[in-house]
Amino acid sequence: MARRAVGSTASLAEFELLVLLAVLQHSGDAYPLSIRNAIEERTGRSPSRPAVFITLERLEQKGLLESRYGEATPSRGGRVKRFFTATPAGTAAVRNTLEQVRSMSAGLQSVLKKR
Amino acid sequence: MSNRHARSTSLADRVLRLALPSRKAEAVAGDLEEELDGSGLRVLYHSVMYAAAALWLRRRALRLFPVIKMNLRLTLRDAARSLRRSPALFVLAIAVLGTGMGAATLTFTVVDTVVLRPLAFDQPSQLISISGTTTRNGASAMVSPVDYAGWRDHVKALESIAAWRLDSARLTGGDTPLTVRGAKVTPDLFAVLRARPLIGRTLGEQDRRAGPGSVVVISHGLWQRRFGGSMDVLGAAFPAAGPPLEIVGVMPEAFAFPLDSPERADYWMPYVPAEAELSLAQGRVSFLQIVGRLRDGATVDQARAEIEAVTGGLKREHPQLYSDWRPVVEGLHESLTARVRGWMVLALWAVALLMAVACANVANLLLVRAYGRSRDSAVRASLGATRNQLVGAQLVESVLIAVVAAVVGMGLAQAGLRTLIASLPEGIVRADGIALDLRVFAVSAAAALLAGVLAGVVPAWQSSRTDVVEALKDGGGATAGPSRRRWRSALLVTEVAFVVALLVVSSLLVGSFMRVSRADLGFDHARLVAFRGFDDTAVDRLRAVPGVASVSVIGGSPPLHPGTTTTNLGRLNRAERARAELGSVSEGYFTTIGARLLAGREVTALDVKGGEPVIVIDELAARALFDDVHGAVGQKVTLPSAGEYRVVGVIANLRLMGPEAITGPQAYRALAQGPGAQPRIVVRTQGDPAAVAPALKVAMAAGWTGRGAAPAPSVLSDRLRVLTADRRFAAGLMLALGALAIVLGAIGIYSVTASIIAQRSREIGVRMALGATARNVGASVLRTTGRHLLAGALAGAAGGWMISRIFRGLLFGLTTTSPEPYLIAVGVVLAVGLIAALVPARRASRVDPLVVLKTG
Repeated sequence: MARRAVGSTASLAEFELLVLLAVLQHSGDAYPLSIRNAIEERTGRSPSRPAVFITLERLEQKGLLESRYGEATPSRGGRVKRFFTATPAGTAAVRNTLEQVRSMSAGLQSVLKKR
Repeated sequence: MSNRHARSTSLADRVLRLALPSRKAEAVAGDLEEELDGSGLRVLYHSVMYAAAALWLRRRALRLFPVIKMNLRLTLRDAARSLRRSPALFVLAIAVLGTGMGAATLTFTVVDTVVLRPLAFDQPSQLISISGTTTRNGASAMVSPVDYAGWRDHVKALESIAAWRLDSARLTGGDTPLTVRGAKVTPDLFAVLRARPLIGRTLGEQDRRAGPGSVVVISHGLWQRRFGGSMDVLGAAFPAAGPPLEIVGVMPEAFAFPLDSPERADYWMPYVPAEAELSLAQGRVSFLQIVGRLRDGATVDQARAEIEAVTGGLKREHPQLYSDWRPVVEGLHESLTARVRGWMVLALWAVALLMAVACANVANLLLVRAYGRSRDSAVRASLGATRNQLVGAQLVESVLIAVVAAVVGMGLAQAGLRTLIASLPEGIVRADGIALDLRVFAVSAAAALLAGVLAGVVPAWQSSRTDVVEALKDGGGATAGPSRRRWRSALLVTEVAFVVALLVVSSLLVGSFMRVSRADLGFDHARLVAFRGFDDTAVDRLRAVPGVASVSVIGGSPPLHPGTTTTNLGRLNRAERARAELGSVSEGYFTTIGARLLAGREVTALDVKGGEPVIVIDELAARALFDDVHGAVGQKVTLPSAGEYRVVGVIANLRLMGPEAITGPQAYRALAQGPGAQPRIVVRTQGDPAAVAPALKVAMAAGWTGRGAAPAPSVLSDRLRVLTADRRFAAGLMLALGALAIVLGAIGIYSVTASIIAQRSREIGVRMALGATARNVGASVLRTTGRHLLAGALAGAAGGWMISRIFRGLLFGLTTTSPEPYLIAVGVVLAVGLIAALVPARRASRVDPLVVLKTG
């Protein structure tokens, strides 16, 4: 599995897209717990913790996300928090993927309409 | 509960750290803590999931391994299928490796918990223990309050220092009265240990000023048992007889001090030395043990130098009180584990050897199998399998064996753990904390994987060198090439060497134990029963019991029981002096205990009050004062403030504290002639003392008029067993490991020989067709195996010698060059090895040349 090309042409797998969108929603203070909660709230599906973790790791490797370590709080047993933010490439990839979905689904409104 | 939680989260942290860089691991652990708040087991479960995910992410990094490159599932299925095809080999390899790992895990668990793991205190390496030793015979001795105060005030290398003594209390109330162990401690003990209470407070400065006897801190266990874990315990009265004590604190479950008492202490009450105890006017009374904490940067050596300097000052002022006493300063951890460290570390060596035998054995089995399959591999290679794939297939197979063996080994270790703990000798530090934990499992699993990979590497590498054309030729592979034979021989020789080395070490230890149990104690302990108590008619009551041969009385401690009085024994009008153990005995005492009279007579009925004071001394005293055993009889000796005594007899030295400690010089006065120490009774029985003991107990209790409850009989051979318990256990362990090694070795020798025969069957067939007899063939096989055995045995004997030199201190009556252990080890291995080789050799001699040559 070679590293995919990074840039505006990158397109995302479906779960990657969800995770990136969740990160964007929390603008700056997204961390694994809040990301998983956001996905759960909005989509009704509850991804496993390791799945979120793996996706975040992969997105960071691809240069679509950045992480930094934040403060430690007592509720975390004095352990640090790891925050994620989208890189410009990440935002571009989201835009690109949504664009692809939109253009592919254009004209299908009648088919996809809820019966 | 909170404790359990803390433990599983720290386990969870460790799991995560195995798979992730530390900050990432910390962040993940933080998320879990935040989300699952307090549920330790769930945190652990999810950590394992995370770790698995992280490892999966990094699988690309593992690509160097040819195995991972191919389709793992296919390879695994392939390996499982090929193992199913030869279940005997599979089962044998797993049994061998599993047994080795089970033994290794078990031993490592015990040694780790007892010896290796740091003490559960803050900065444990700063803690030191100060005790004393008598320079006469190296027996350990306690410390006096004067010594304690001197060190407390003058030793600068110590940040703090505390003294303590064991104590016990009889709990009142509750359903049954119960005696609990505790300690009297100077209030700064908790500061020295930096131990904090679970609730309430520990002892502190205020308890020093308020005076002793008013407050007490109790253990978590007592809190739970007696107070049901209620918070009302603070301020409640300590439920024991004696002056009322207020409970001011409860220690956490994990807190244990002292660590080396057989039962955990359940309470700690303040001890503050009284004015009188802090002067030497009344003599020097020693009953304390000391624990101190080094200042930051200070070393044990600095502390020792200062402590010796302080004691040196006291010695100059009171030479007679300190003549035979010297402080012993060492790290607390070292002092606690000194008793068992030697043989426990030896046990680690032994299981390492055993594990090596197991690995060599499995490697051999796999090697044999790989050659058997070289045709199979060649077919695959010709069909396009790459070398990596061939090597990978073999590696996966070995790893599979190792993993299953790890599970089996863990099961065996778990099953054996309880038995092992139950058979541990009494009073071993932290023995109650022994439990298999994740760390040990990880070590065991790593060892298994390593063993599996190593055992797979050689055959895999060799099989990948198979020449396709050669192997596919009809009948190819019927004779093994020289390089393969070399590998196999090397493995066989190595395995035999490990077995012999292990056997040398274990026969040295077992032999030492046998010598200790048969050692001459100077008296006959076999049919003796002692009572640590006395009343006026006890002797008559006991004499009336059927099966009793004789009854005598000793003022002082009976043999093999602790407690001695020492005094300065001097020769009348001469300068010769000896520090001697002093006792007083009734008539016939030495006959009763079976002591050997070397000269003169023993104490008799004629030595009455008012007669000439007489004394019986041992050979050590006789040599020290008179240079001669026989010349001593008739001479006069003096005791401080007790006058002159005529020596009437000399006895062989009595090993009062067992075979491994010299007690003496010794001197015994006549009990009838003067005041002596607390009288105790020694009974010689006609038959088995254990059979008579119940009747003795009844007779002692019936009509008992002494203080407290009537004393219970104590069988002296049982006491000796207690005194030699460590050795017994070590010998038993080494015996078990040695036996395992023999079994594993025999399996290895058998399988290798069998495989050699199987591969040489064509050659053997040719030779027989050319006129070799069955006898020739069998002998040639045995000769080859014998050569390997001999080479391995010599190497192993040398290895055993080197290992045993490290553990010289554990030997008794044997030296590292005593021939017996070596002869036993080599003899056993040669015998077992030749028997194991005999079966395949016979098979070889029955080869039918016609069949072999036809089928190829």
